[in-house]
Amino acid sequence: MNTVTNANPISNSSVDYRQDIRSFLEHFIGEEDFSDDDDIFELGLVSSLMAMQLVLFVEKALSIRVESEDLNLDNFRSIARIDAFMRDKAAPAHD
Amino acid sequence: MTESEHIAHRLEAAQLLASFAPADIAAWDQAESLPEEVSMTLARSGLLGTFIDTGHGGRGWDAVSFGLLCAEFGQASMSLLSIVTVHSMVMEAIRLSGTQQQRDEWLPALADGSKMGAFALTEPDFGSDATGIQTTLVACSEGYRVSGRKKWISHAARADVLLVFGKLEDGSAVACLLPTDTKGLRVTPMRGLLGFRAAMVSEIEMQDCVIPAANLIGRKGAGISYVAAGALDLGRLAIAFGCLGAMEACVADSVAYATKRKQFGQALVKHQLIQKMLADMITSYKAAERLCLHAAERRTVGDPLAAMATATAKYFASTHAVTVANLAVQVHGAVGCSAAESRVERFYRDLKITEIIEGSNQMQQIMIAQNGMGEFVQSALKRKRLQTGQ
Repeated sequence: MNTVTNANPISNSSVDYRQDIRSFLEHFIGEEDFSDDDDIFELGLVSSLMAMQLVLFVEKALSIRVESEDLNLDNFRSIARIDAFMRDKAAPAHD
Repeated sequence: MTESEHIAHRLEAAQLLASFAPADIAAWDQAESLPEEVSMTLARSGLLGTFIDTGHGGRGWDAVSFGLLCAEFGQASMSLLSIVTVHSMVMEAIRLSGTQQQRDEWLPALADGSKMGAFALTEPDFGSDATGIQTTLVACSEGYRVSGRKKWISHAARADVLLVFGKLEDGSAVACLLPTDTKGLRVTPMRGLLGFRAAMVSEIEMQDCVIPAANLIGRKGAGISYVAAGALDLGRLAIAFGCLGAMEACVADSVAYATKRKQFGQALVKHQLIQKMLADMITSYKAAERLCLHAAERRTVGDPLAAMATATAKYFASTHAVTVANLAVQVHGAVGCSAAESRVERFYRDLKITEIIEGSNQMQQIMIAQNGMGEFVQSALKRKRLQTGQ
């Protein structure tokens, strides 16, 4: 299995989004067994629409706009990475 | 937005398009060119940036209103729809992937039509396999030098700015805005096309065209996976609704012709085999309408699954539009084969193009199957859990 390490192991939010992300991805991936660290793009589990759909998923879940500088595929490669990205975005800005 | 607002928006588009005489629309197709004053009328109509927020010079229309506008364009002329589509795709790329500064800089002029955009992705050797594109962006002191060839680019011959997709020296895909007055750019209109003949479809050659680094749209590496994907998603919605409008025109013309034309002593519409064709056309239209509206409604509420609904609507609407146009020509008989005597001849040619553009229907099928399979696996699992009580 191809895996990617968590992009941001020190997350700012205590909310765990992994189950929500998995539920969303299962809508597309079905019964295929994949771990939180699996690179869903590299494994070919999703179609070319997925990057866009994942951004919309994050935007809707957090009621935020994902800005151009965050539109990096690496933020969306695995459940763990999306979770880290969402925790980072959900946390209030620090001074 | 309310239903009455949607109707009002559709009426606004219909009124603009009613200012173009059907004979003129047919003549543009035959001449394979759009008069400049028509481009100017479109640009000044205030209807080219409707889905852009009012803060950036748009009208803030939702996806349903935008779709209905596209249906009106499709009903009048698929060439005009094509112009609206590519212009909208350029704005959508900037809206979704641009920085705040880029949105502020580019969107107002595109939304009010003072600048027209075209979407330059396809190359002579790369269409569906967009990741293979060979256009290059080489870093230089002024920003980037863009070189390469693009082909089948709608409205490129009239556009002020092109959204060009290419690759950096490290192979990462990017998108950039290339003004058409840039030195080294040559745009050549293409003639002899099957459809979209008044859309000023062109071939583009770029030789060391210099652009500032600030013209890159989206992150490096996201050119295809996000910038193009997001723009094409809106493009598919525009094409799906455009097909719907064209289908409506085909059905309306067929009913009118079959009512008027008599054979074997009675109107064609009294013959059951003609009724069979009309029934199939009406059913296709009704089903496509539901899929298009569903996709637009999902997009309006920001549903992450909206892109799938749009791919499904585009696939269905374009496939059925081709069938409907085919039947419309059949109902019209020899009259349907003559551009001087019917517009279904033009729709028959134009609608074939919709099965190929904004992602060929084979690419839509792959996306629908890949994404849709999971949905049905999940629903089967849920059913099983319900039945077994686990």
